[in-house]
Amino acid sequence: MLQDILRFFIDDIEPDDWEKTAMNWLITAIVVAVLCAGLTFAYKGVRKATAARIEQKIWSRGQTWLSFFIGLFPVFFALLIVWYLTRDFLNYIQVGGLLKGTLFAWFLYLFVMIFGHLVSPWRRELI
Amino acid sequence: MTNVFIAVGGSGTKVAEALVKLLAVGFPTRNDNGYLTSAGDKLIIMRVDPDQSAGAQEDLTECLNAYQELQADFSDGNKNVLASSRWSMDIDTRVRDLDPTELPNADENQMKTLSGILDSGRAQEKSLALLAPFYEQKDLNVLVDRGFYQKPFIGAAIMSVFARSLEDDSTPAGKKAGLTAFSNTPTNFFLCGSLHGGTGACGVPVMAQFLNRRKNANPGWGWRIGGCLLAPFVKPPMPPFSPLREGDTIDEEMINQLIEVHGTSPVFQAMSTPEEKRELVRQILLGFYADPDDMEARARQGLTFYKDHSSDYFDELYLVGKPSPNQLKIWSNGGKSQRNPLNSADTVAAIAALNFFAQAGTGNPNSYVIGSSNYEVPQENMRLAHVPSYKIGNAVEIEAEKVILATVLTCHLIRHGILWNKIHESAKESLICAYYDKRMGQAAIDKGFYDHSIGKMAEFINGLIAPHQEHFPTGWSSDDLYQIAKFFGDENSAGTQEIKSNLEKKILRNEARGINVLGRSETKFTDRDFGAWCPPGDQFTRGEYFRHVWTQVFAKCQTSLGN
Repeated sequence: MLQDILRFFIDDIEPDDWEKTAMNWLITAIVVAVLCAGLTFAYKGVRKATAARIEQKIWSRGQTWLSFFIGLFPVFFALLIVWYLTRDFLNYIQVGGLLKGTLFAWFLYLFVMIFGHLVSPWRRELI
Repeated sequence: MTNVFIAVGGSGTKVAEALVKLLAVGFPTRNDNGYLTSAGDKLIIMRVDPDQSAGAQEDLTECLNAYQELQADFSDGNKNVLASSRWSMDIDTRVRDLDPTELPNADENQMKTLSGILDSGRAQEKSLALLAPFYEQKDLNVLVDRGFYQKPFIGAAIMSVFARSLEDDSTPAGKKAGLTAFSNTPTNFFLCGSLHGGTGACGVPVMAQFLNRRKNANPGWGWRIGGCLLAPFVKPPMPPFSPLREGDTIDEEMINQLIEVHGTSPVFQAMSTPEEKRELVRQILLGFYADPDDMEARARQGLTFYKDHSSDYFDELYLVGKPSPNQLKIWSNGGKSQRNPLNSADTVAAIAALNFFAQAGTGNPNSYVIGSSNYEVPQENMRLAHVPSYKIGNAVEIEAEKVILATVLTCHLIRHGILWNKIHESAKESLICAYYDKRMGQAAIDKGFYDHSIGKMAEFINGLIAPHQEHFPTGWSSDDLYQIAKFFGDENSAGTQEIKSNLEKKILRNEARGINVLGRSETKFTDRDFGAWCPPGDQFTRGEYFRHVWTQVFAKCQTSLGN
């Protein structure tokens, strides 16, 4: 089961330890997604805390979704940089794995953002 | 508490108009568990004037209609005869018009002249024969359906007959006044009229005597009688032509000639029938008009009369005037054409009424208080800061400038401080938004009513302190109104943005960036403070919310230390 999942994120499975590489790539995607979600939350929190006017403190649904969307770019770029700088990722994960990993990170990032909003007082800005 | 404002003559009617406007813009009369408000009190306006088509009466009616609309906006949206809401005092919008010449037995009283009334069945024993020697023939025969032309000696006799008719609930005046309804009810009666005019000068003391007798006969009823006398504060111009010299007589040719020469003047153009014009010419020729040169002497005589005879009728008696009266430009002798603007003195007299209604207890029964200031109050450029303050319950000082600042800032906050298009999102930041968030559709309905009421509020303030102009002598400076205008600006106006900026919070400190100012009064708080202001409980009206916010803003108003 786990092997099937890991297989999904890697293009070249010739090396013996391809599972380890795939697992590292998966962990990287998870860390990047959670980190970016945390940073987006922090950015929003700081903007709200330093808002001079109450109307600047209130984010509309549109603004909230826009902030989610903008957060997708850092996720992609962070993964791209890590992928490019890590030889194993470049050689074995390859472009297909990069795209699949990015897609997974995006889903995870959006899940964290939505869930985070739903359990926080900011839920009104989402629903 | 029931308050009865008895406006005697045109001047008293203008003060009634000022009083309604002051109440509309939020002036309080009591402290209701921390809320400074006038809501819960009731005001009935009576008007004693033989001039039933006076311009002042039309102005008052328009003002009451606007008040009715305002109160409807703040309550259930319906215009009721008793204009009531939790924002301000309930006012019975039906002015009880008491015509002193309208006596019972109309068939005997068709001639609205002094002789006609003294000879009517109502005047005891048909008193003409007895009183005629005190009057000249022209005094007895002049029509008094437009007032007493600043001749209180004519009006005094008519008023006495009228006051007697009030004792009987079946007479026209007795029926309209409905004084029986005030039996056993604590009531503040406040009489207001001019000291130097005709109707006011004779009507106020006669009515006060009548009420005082009833009060003394029934000490358990809890009646209080207050009064305000208006000393000269506007000076009318001279009539279009001079009166006859002593010994000269009027002939028809002379009247026709004068109408031909002066027919284009506004006062004649306002008249519809030739007979009215002829009557006006006769009145001027015989000297039945307000002579500006006599005003001061008449006021002095009036004061002496009060000192000797009438001041004891009152629990409190106020005197309002101006050292140099504002000059009126258009001459009129009563009726529709007499439409004077609301003067700053009218507003000060209305403040005296509020002081009385608020039971401030100025001075004591054996003394008098002289209002004073350490600077000269400009006669034609008064500002809100110059208006005397009054007290509620002898504790809270109410200053006009702070009341208006609180009102205009409340208007701004409700229009621009509530995020009407983000009610759901801002429910956590603002209690009123949380309230609306639970009530689908209510915000849109309330916003419509608030927008309308704020428009009305702006009209009331504009009418109250309209700037002085040569042909519109109000006695007010334009400076206050100029400052107030920015509080009523649109969302993108520079004024609105400036106020919003003043309400902003400093970064990481819960302190406002700026102060909002009106004259010498200022207030400082953030829009976050505003978000926390909401009446307790789950059910409140628009008026209640408006008053709640107003109370919070008013509490934060203070006099600027810099000026």
